Amino acid sequence: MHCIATLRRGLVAVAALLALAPAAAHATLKVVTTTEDLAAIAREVGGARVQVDALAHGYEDPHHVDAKPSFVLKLAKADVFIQIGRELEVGWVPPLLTNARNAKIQPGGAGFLDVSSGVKILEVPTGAVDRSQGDVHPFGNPHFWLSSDNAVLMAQGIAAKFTQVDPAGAAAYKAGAAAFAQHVATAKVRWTAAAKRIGLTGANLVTYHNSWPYFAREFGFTVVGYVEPRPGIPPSVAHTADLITQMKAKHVRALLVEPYFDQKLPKKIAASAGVPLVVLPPSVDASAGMKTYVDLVDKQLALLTQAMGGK
Amino acid sequence: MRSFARMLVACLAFACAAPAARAQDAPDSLATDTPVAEAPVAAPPVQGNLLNPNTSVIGWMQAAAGHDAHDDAPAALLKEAEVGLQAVVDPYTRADIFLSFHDLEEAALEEAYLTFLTLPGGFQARAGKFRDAFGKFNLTHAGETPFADRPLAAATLFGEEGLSGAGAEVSWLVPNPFGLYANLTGTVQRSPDESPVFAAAERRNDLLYLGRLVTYADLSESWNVNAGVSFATAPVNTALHDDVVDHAALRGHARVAGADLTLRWKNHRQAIYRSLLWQTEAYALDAEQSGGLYAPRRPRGGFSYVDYQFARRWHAGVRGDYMQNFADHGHQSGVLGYLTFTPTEFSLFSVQSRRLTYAPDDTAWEHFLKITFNIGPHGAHPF
Repeated sequence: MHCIATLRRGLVAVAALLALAPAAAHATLKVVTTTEDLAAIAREVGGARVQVDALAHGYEDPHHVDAKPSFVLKLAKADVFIQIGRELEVGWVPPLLTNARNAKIQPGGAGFLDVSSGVKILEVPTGAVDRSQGDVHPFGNPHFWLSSDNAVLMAQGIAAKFTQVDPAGAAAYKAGAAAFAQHVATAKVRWTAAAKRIGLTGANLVTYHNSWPYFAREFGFTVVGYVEPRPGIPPSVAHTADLITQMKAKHVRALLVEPYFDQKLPKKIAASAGVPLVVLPPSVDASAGMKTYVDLVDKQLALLTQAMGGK
Repeated sequence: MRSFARMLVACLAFACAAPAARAQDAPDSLATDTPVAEAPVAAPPVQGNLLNPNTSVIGWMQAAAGHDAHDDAPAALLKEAEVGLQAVVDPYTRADIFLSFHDLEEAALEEAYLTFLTLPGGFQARAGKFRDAFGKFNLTHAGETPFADRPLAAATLFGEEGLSGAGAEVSWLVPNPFGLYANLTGTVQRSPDESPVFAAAERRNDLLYLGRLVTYADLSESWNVNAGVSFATAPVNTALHDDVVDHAALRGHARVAGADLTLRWKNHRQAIYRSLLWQTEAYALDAEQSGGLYAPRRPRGGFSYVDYQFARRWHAGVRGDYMQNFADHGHQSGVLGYLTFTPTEFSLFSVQSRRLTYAPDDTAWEHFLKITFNIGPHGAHPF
């Protein structure tokens, strides 16, 4: 009985102590994004008018992020929340938003933005969808930030959202989105040239997960197979053997794998097929020195150049 | 026993073979077999069930073997088919409803509550019937825990379904100078209908009051900790006092205090392959009737378990149980071990063994095969 009374008094005391804490200083616009890619674009669009925080690190698989309670604290203070959408974050964002106690960033709220509503989506299923096809995304492939055209559309959508929430910054956000588009347009010239130089354009490639259809379209290569037999399903021995045969038959130039997948099996497959394995980061800040969207694509093409040797 | 072992082997063989068989039977993944199309720019996500609630079902089948003189559960049964209906009601609230169907019992309304999303000042509220925030384990639906059973102390104090009831809950994100997640919850409910320690409500003021404070901290990139304390009080269930002759004359309150600690590790750079979770909950009951006619009941109990994911689709775990008896100075204890195979995020096959010691000369040794599946929209990963 004594310990219960002590516990009760302790609960009240701790709550009172915590309540006395000062509130954090308020920035112009507090923005929380699900991924570092969104954060990088939002920073370029918003400049000094925004303070941007990403929930998932660039090295994390955005499908499998833990819905940590510490994320709730960030969301509780956010003026704007930006997600990729198309169910990329369906395994962790919904409970965070429910518990954020922040009306502004709930779906439909003024501070909520799903950038997928303003970009070009590939692989939207037109037939029946069920889990026999693996962990499919029923509303289309969500890895759309890996298209520079979509990145520009994302920046425009973010600028429009910032303007809606902070009309005083409209001109700055418009200029930020335009500057981002200019940076991408300038970089795209060298990216396209590099892709042609190394023979990426027109090549056949294999990837681990179906993360690269936008990147493939951007640089003109064809993904002819996947290490995963279906999205989210680990490969069987039979599938692996079949994949190696197909890679040889289709003269595949490289096997791409995201850093968050185990590389033991991809290494064996690549060695058996006689192609280089390229550990290709799909997100900003996946490794040191990739702070912007342009940095990301520069790094991706540098890694591909290194692996494919400019043949 | 031998037939159960054969059944286990057959089921595991089937479970292991199933994904491979599907992969082999599948059309060549080198060519996409699902028709795809490009959506126009600015197209909203296509949804066939616009405005309908998300509907999901979690199925839980279980086989049991061995001997327990205190619990002669059937050899095989559908433990539960839980239907979830979840949707946003309007810009201010969302609704979550869970209906539970059992093989041998009547269907039950497990939870049905409204969550108020837009309260100011870091507050949130729920109203309806819901699982209580007493400890961390009680919040998890039975089929979604790693176990084929309920930990001894949790089942003894809160029943096989856990502590839940109809009422209202208010929680508050407590601001603090340490930047810590701290959530304070207060609940008032009708005294629960089926609880070993709390009496079902007979009068309007037979209420359960519950409080909980929980904090969370990231210790490093890979480690985090969750710690909480809880307290609940409601009219005492007189069945606790099995030496009492006149139960009608007995009134009083039962109070339960609890503390819980969860430590997690995961390599977030390759999150799907390895993880570790250690969770411990401890409870103290104080059940005292008015007038002091009968001896108070003050048992202590708890459980602790470790779950280690050692490969992408494999988990192993062990749990220890302890619960003091209500009526004497004895105690019960137990150990449960399990090996779990998850072909995908949407199904699970787990073999488990449990040894319970009710008394020095009264032990039970049981073995379980737990199979669960999940259909419907992709739900959130548990944390």
